Amino acid sequence: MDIVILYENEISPATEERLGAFVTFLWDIGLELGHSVRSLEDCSREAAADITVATNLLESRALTGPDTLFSELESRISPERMWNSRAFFAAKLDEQEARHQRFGETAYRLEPNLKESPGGLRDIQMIGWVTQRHFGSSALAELVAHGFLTQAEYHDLMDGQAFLWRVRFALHMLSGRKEDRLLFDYQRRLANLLGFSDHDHNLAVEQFMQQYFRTVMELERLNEMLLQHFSEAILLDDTDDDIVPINRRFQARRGFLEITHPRVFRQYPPALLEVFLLLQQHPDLKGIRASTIREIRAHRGLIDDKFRQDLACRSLFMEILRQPHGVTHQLRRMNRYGVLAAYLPTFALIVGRMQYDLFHVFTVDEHTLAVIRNLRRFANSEHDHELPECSRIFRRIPKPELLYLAGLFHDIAKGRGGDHSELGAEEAREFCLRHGLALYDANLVGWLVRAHLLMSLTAQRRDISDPDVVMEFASQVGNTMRLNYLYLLTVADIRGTNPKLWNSWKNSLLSNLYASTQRMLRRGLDNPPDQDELVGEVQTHALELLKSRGVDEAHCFAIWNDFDVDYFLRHSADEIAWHTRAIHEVDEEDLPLVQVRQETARGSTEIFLYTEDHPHLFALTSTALTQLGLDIVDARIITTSSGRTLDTFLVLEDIGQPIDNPFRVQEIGRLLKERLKEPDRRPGMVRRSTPRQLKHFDVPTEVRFAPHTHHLRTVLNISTADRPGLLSRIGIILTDCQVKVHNAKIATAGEQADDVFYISNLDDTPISDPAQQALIASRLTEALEIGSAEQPPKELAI
Amino acid sequence: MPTLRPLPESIQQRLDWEAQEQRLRAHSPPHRQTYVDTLNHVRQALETAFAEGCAVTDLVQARAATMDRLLITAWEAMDLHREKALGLAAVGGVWTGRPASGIGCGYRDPV
Repeated sequence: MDIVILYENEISPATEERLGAFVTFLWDIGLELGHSVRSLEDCSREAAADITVATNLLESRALTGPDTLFSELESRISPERMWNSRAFFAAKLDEQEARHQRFGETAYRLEPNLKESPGGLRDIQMIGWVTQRHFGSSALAELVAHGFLTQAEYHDLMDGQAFLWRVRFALHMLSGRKEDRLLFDYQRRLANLLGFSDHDHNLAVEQFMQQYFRTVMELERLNEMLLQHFSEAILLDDTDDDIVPINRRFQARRGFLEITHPRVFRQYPPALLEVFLLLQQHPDLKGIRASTIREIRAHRGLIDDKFRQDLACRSLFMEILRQPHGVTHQLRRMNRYGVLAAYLPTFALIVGRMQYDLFHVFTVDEHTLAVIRNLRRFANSEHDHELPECSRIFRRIPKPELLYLAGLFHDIAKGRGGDHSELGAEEAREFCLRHGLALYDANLVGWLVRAHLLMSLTAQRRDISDPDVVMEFASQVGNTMRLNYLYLLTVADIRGTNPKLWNSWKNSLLSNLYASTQRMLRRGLDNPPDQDELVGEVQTHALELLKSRGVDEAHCFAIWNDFDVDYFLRHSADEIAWHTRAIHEVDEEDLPLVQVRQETARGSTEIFLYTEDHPHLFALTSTALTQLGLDIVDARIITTSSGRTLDTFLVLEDIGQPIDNPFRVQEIGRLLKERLKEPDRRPGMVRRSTPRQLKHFDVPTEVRFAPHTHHLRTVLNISTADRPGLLSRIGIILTDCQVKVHNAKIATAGEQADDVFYISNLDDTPISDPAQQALIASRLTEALEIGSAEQPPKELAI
Repeated sequence: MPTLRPLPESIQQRLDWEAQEQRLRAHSPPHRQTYVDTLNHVRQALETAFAEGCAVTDLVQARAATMDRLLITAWEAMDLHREKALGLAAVGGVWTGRPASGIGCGYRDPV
């Protein structure tokens, strides 16, 4: 709350002094108060220049003082003197648009602002301000009398406002201050305070946030409709009606689509879908008239089983998906007006549904529509530059609508318990068959929904340089067409989950898996390449590269004789050539060799180390890289037959980008070289405080072991709460447990880290003894326990 | 003089504003601790009413109405109401660079 102290012309120094004492006193008793002392002239000058000042004065509330003073202020800032209702409305509209853009950003999705976020209290105030400017009264009930709102809509508006007020009141109680952000710090406690409790598949906090998101969605819709009404009444009131007939049911008025008479939807219910198709087919239309939006909402009840079985409705729905333009826009609009949830009742369950984590930024319905938007971007040539390979593959897709259907259903069963991919697959298949799709197409959509996580998990969790892994994935996919569909759905899904999740590294992982699977499928699943063939191919290619750079074949083989087959299977020809040339050129006394490439085909910065093997190397290197603020996304450690190690670390800056600063490259090289010269020194623990948001999630640490099919290694899976310095901590524990790390794949999803390590004993035998596994698991769990994040792990004696 | 917004009936008894106001008006210049106690009393009364399921519209109205009265009492206790051409109004906070609406008022713990 802020106050203005208003005076007519001037105030005496004595009064000024008392006013100062008054404001000081208010602060002294603990009121958080903004204040200003202004003359009437100051007020009118400032208000004329700035719409925000005008709005504040417009909604000012006289507390004490002469009536004449306040009536003079009212007169000075009246629409006759400044900001007439047209100018006021236009300015407020711009202001709201800018605010929505600012508060619609990712950070505000997880921790929305009750006041400023789209659909928040400010949107209701905006309606109040425009009402006051135009009708001279701030009472929103006036809007019913003027025909802008129905009684039911007015109640929806009041109910939404009351919910937000209640949340805000509770938030102020919890925080003990004026706080409008629904921070993770408060979300759980707010849910409890407001009476929500955990259910089987739905946490109290998720139910609370779902109600919040549904409320703001409803308020956004009312805000949109009212502003459309205002726009027609205020901005366009003197323009000609300019009616253009479209068909018997619809016409365009002033560029907006409307029904030709109020009984249209009652007489012909499929028009509830036709309206969206017409918007796609007439891109010149600017939107739907407010009165028609109201009729759509009022007639949603007509979308029942009979409606869903109607062939005309089914055809219209598929037509919407098959249109070359406006698929995403119209699906979003259908969602906003409640038509999508009415047509697909299971979609209603995911509307506004949030998942309490840092990974899923959007509610499930928003994420679903974002995935479809991402798929549509592949179709649209103006986005070709974003992911050219995906755009190219999209053009080879025979039926894009199958992809959109898979996108629509891929998460539809979330929050119901059970495997959402399985449940969604069955629903998708049935939906397709009901909508006249061929059995083959329906099965394809069902398979895509069932397998929508397969490619992402394979690429991010498994060693895709291992031909057996690629073979297994290719067998599950079956053919190139399904691979194409799955690849596009996977990319669209990851990009639609969290804008920060997608980066060049993930792009390269998926792209590499796509390419190697495609090769495998082309050869035929019954004709996989053998190891010798793969090694021969990569060596030949690497030799060509090396020869062109002046390294002869004999030297290459002299170096390569020290390497095992695994090295050639896990590195590209380009990487092998880079390593070989560096080893060829380095003098023995200059070891350890540290090489850094800023950006590579793997979408990350690549660090190559060549030195004497030592048990501490992984821990030393990961600690040094963590201290440099780098995220390690992949590590490959190869020991040569002469006891040296060839380590490749793929790293990104913490913003998810490869390093672009040459000085940073030098710094990395210098620090690593320094550390590797003292390999016996046990690395120190990186101590950094855990970010605020991470502290609110209780992620249990899980450690699992699995045998690796080849290479005498053991696969170690660690799921735990992400925190700064995690990998370094794991590296130190593994070193202390006398475990050798051969390969590491690091994946972080919000607050949870899912890291996979390929490990062995120091003598390269697998870790298969259950007692040894239990000991390692217990050491890791203890060291990674919540609360131990800032403590160094205990020294271990094994 | 402007008309004050009423205190909602549902919460009047719990707020017991008349008694609070009497205590506030017993001092001129205003007495800091009495005001702090009143603010705490209002906060507690509203929180109890919230926990008992009181309508939030009443809570919001009660908070604004009590704040209005408290400001006016302090204003009068400093004899500012005797100034003929001086007025006090609640507004958004654009001049202070801290925009806020008129429906909420934060407290901080007094020093």
